[in-house]
Amino acid sequence: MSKSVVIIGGGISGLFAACICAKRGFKTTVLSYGQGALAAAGGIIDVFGYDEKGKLIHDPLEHINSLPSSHPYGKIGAENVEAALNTFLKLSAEAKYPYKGDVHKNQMVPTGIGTFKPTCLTPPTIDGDLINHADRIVVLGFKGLKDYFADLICENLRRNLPKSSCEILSTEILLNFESSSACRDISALDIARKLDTHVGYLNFREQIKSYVKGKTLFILPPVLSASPSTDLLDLLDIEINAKFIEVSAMPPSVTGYRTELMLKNIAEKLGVEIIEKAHVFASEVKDKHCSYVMTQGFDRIRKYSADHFILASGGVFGNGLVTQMGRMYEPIFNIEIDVPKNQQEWSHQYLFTGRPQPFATYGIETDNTLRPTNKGQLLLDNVYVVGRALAGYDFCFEKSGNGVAICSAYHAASLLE
Amino acid sequence: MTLIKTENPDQCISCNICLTACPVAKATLRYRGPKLTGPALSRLRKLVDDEDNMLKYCSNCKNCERVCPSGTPIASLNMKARANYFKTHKHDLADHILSNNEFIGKTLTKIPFLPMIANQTMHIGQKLKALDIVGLSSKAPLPQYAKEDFYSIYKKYQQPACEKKVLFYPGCYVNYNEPQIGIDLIKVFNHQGIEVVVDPNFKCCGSPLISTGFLDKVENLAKHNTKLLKSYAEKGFDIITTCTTCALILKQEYRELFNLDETVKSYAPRLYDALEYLCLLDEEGKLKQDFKPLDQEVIYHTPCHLKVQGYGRPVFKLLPKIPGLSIEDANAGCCGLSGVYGYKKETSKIARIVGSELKAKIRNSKASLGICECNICRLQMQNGTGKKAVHPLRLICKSYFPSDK
Amino acid sequence: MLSTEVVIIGGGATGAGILRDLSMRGIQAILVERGDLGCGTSSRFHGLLHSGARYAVKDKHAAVECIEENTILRRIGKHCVEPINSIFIRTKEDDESYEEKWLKACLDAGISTKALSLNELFSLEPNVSRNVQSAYMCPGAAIDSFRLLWQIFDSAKRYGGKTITYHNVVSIDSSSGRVHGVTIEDVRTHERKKIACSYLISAAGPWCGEIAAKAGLSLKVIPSKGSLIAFNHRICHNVIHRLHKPADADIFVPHGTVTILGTTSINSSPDDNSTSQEEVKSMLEIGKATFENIYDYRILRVFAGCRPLYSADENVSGRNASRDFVAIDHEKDGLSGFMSVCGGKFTTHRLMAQKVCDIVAPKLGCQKHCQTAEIPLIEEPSSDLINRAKKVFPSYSSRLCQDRQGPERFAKILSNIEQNPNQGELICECENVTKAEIESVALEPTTHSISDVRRRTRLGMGTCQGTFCTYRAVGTVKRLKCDWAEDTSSLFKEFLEARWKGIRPVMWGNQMRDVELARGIYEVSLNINHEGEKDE
Repeated sequence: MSKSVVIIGGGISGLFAACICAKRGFKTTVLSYGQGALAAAGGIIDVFGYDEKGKLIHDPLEHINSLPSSHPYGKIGAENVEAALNTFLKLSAEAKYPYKGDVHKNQMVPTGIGTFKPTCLTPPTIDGDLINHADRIVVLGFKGLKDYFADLICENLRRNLPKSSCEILSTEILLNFESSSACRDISALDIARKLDTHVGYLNFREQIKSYVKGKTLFILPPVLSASPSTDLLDLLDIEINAKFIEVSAMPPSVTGYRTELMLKNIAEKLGVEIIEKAHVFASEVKDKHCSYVMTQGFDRIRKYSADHFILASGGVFGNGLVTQMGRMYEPIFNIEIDVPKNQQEWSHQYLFTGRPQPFATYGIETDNTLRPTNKGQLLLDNVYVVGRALAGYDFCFEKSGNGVAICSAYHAASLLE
Repeated sequence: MTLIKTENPDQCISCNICLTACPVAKATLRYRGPKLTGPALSRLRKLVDDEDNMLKYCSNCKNCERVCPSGTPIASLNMKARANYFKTHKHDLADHILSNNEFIGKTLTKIPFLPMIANQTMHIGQKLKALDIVGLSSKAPLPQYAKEDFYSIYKKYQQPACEKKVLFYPGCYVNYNEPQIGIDLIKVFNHQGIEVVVDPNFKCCGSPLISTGFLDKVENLAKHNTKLLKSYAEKGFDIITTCTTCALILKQEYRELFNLDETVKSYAPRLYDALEYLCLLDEEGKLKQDFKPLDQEVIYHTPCHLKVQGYGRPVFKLLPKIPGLSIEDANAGCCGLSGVYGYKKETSKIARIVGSELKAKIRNSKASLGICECNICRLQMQNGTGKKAVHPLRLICKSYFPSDK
Repeated sequence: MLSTEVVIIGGGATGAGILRDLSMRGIQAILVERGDLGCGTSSRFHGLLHSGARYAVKDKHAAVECIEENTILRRIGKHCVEPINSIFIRTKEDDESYEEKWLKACLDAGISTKALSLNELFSLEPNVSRNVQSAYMCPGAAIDSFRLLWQIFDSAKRYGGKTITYHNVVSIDSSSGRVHGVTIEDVRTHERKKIACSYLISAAGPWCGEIAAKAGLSLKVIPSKGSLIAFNHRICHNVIHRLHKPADADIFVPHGTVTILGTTSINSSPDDNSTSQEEVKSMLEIGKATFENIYDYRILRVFAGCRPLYSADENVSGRNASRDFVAIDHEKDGLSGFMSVCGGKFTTHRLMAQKVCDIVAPKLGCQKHCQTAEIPLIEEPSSDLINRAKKVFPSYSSRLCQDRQGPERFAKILSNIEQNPNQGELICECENVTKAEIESVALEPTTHSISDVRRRTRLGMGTCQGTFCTYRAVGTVKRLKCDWAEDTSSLFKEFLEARWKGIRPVMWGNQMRDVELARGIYEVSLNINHEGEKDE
């Protein structure tokens, strides 16, 4: 009988780990409680953007080579990072939602305020390179769309692309949305769902047509389909011969939502069992070996046993790490995180300081195989920690969130025997 | 006075993930979405009063709670807000009619021939759009009332002597509309050497009343049912349900809505979905494996209320045991009907939009039969698809006992 | 050069009250504030409109003043006061003998006390501890200080009162023992100007000592810092007090959408508005006697303010110093035309202003009487306005906007939404603030930052603490082309850092999750730490 693995957490690291495990022939079960942070965070894969002094990194893989083993990448190793990211690229291509990017090169993608950010792999709707080849950039807004400001993006793009000779303008198009106090405010997801309908698409296409002159690039909110598919993008490419880059700002992130759907589809096709609303709260461990984890809902405790466990339950946001006054701990395996007793010492005086925040680097210490340790001593021999619960990096500051998630998931899943 | 548990919206961190999963928000802009209507506005409702047209749009399908990374009882906050709203606003006639399935069922099935007449009348009413007058949709699929209720059938049913006994909570639908599910359950469980006990003293779980905002009435039902369930649990009975909504209400909503934590906790660990129970028997090696072939293609729809109970999908562990049976996963979201939601005129249009994806999947599927645990979902699955939908127990029963009619 | 009869220093409750009172008596006055209106002590308290019951045993005089002013403010400041009640509960930990003393003192002071049975108490306040021994209801209430000040200034403006915000007082100009003006400096442009006046009133609260020093005078003010905790939702419907000798952390005020617990009393410096973890810990421990489940309630943030306690005796501190106010005519110190007003309570600010103006007005040859107690701060909106608003505002937002902005601004906001339904978009989903309201306030001459918009609208003061609304607010004000809204990145940072300050000491549990979300949005998605930088 094939060996089994239980993955705790259904976010990007849990789902990606599940795909790798299933591909390797493990009987794979994902226990997820609530949707992962992808739908809040977004679907682009930052790998490494800025060094500890805030200096932009051009080759993320080269930088990863120089990282100490206290950093998750230091444990995973550049070789595995490369393999992980290439596997992700391959899986996404097989799922017909091909990510693009080069693990040796950061690309600059525009943001929801018209600034730029470095990232590595991007979904098909966000290709930062297109900016360099455009003669004309049209920032598209949608009337009534909340959480998107075409004029603000346009103004800042002009400021941030001083050497560019291309024309930058903004405009707003009108789709048929009901608008009154009886209606909620419109989100990018609403527009994406509208563009997925034939009528919505035609309306959109007709309105933007006249803006296409020369090599035209449209910058727009994440509205090119609500599902992980390039159908809309391909159709637009044929029918109006223009390029598109999506920028995102506020959750729910449509780009993250698509990526999550993509990973879920892949996992389910590979035979992964995903059990939703399964709140893992405890584990049974003897001699450093976990025999089962336990879930509890409104009825009773359920036990899930396996040969291996991958802890992909997230950080503080995902409740994989729990904080109280002067305390942080991992609740399932009861791992205390060594943190200052005084909350003031967790952070700098200012939130946005140009330095990593101490609290962001708090997490579970592991060995190079990502198994939890305490002061160098192995705590558990068949539990692997992946994703945001790992200690030693501030993903917001260095821009490495989804990268660490994917690479640690791949590393752990590859190590299982 | 109803002791609705005080609303605490503190778990919500406004991440808006719920908006991606809410089928109602997907279908209409007239709903503000789970986060705003639930946790965000429950803070404001403690401060100001206002007309709140969006409140009626929550269908209590609980997809928001399924995806919430914070464990916020979003739909329950909505239901409490709705109940509070109706303390100062009037219910319409449709609410009164729809919330009384048990009363209607009891009355109709007690008198011979009446169910048939009632079924006919309802259909004629539907055709004549008479239902519109009372605020009911003339397009929603109406349940049929059975000639004889399940309790009466059960009383006459001879079960073989078994060592083990379980309690079955049939709920109104099995009792008044589709007693066959209860009979199938008895047969399948008897086959495992388990006797099924039914207690006619149980009352409706209150689901339609929750949706229509009559929480004071639900509290009475809850007190009655929880007390009775507790007494069975204390006697060592495992409790079985076939309706995912009943189960959800018995174990979760009673706790979230009322101060009944201790009583619910006394029986909840013993409350099982019928298929989940059979899976557990299987894991213990106690499930009879004499499944006979069923040459059929079926399409399975996962009820929303099953997805939030955290035990996965037992159908995919049991039905593959039946030789010859091929199961397609519809994977098409919510059926939309959501109990009374689909029957009220003002929300039935939304229900139809929500359900259209599922219905299209069923129509276009090679499968000849729909299967689903939820009674209401099945009505929607049959509505306009030209295909029948049955409870998975029907297939299990057919596979064990192919010679039965 | 600007010229006026009276210059008032300090845009808190006392200064605002004096400005309104003088203006209504027909005396020209300009108020100078170093920051925004009400950004100091006057907004850094519970938001409690005292009934006086808390002071009844110790200080009958103060108690009587409180109940009288409470009644007046409920009338003239109807839109700022939530007409709820105060419930005094005696827990097992509280001295039983105090109850009798307290009941008698309340009776003497004319404060009604209605005994509640425990059943009545728990049905009114289901979250209150089951250890309560006895409970009484008094007429205390919640008052929104930002809103009250905003409306006092609006009212004063109608009578000719002027306000200059974001200006420091550089010097007090005097000659031959008489004040004749002040020199002020714009905190942003550092531009200086002089205001000539015949009389100067310092209502600078805890900063009174510093202001007096600018005239070479010495004034002993004890800045006593009080910290407060804001919880995410209304955990009670009425103000809950402990029935005991006034002490730390014994009052919970349901205030708008939140509940505020306070306070502490620590001698400090006037600019200190920090809160330590120890303070939070001890407040929660004490608060547990009132609400057993206090640790289950989410803390949004902490904040602190400095009470300006005046004492002639240098050794007195904190809770032992009198909360009464003093008006010191510096003529006794050899400088005429200058008065310092300090001490006192928010609840009685109007009465203090009246007493001060009764002294000052005759000096300026004005014999008019005080009218501040009779005339409401703002007019009532017409029923037509209210009905129209109900049709176009998102649910639960029209009355809040009406109460916050008063009928004139409200009418403008309403017609803005009527003309363009998209203006009814909710910028702040936690506090239900529409885009039209944000725009209207952003365009006010006294608004210079998104934090100023916040104080007048409650933008960003709810659950998400700015995580979602900052982006929307920045995008919205940028479109208006306000002169203060040029640099996108600094707009973000100003607002988010101000929110962060209150979160930082209590960054655990759900609030820390929210911080992670905020960093994910602003640092990861929008990269606000690195402006521009396409080609590095």
